[in-house]
Amino acid sequence: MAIRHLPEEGPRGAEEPPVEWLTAAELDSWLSLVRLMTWLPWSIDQQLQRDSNLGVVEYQVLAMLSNRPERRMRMSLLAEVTNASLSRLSHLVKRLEERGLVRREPDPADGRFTNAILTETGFQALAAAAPGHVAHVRALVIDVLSPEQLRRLGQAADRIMSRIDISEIN
Amino acid sequence: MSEGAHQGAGKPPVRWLTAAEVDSWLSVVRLMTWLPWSIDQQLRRDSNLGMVEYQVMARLSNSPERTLRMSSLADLANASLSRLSHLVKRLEERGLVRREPDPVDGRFTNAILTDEGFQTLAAAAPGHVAHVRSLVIDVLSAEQLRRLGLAADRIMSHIDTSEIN
Repeated sequence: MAIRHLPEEGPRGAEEPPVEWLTAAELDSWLSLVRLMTWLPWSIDQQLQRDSNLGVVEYQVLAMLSNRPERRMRMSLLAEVTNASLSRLSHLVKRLEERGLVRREPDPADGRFTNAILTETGFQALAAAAPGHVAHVRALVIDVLSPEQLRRLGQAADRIMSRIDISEIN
Repeated sequence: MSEGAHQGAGKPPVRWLTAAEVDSWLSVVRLMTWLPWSIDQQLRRDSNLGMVEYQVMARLSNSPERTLRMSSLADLANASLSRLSHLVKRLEERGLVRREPDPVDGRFTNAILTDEGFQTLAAAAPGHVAHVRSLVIDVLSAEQLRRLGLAADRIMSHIDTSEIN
């Protein structure tokens, strides 16, 4: 892509350090990763929407709540984990609330915070969605890699994640 | 989730993920959630471009006459042609791209990177590349990066992108 061709043509200040452009091999790997980031979430979302009428972030929210003591979590923490701004998450949780899958109430320990709580209906919806979701994840990711390849993929992802400063959110 | 889910009697048993598989999968999910966000952040802050906008312009810059049919950009936007049209329209309003009917076959529309678009891309590229280096390229060995790309390709080959729209 353009990255390789720009050095000769791109305007550059004299004092700036020289740009370390990507090599052809680096660029190939990077573009493979970009394609994956573009399409894998889309495919996961497609399956969930089609079979369970849930978006991928909605599923994530329900799944996270289901794993928590009393199936509840502060909205602010949910926002952090799902990389949604609080206002975007509020909209999303409101829609889940209207479907009876989640309810919100003030945190009994500190009323300035709001908790999201997975309802029994929400738990059932999650339980119904999970087999299809897991089968899809298996078909696309888990079963197409050897255990060693999968482990390495997870490690590479962790390594990259450790460099990302997520404090800038909001 | 695995313990709580119910199974219908007639259905094949669900092959739940093992603990190790869940770990790796959640690492991938985290990456897919945060890496595009971070790439997008840097581009917006420093160059007023979104990640997909950058990808579109970069691909155009690398094409003969900096021109491509709209349909051959759709895979970048992971979007229906109509969503891509909106994105390209915004680039057009900023003078970075223009659209015109394909001279060979007027039923198709071409997107063309303008000189201004090329300059914008050239100005954005160093910061973008430095960011990609610091997050991805330079934190992995050459072999790790190659394997990551291969795993991504392998997964991609199982994704049916034809369902779009």
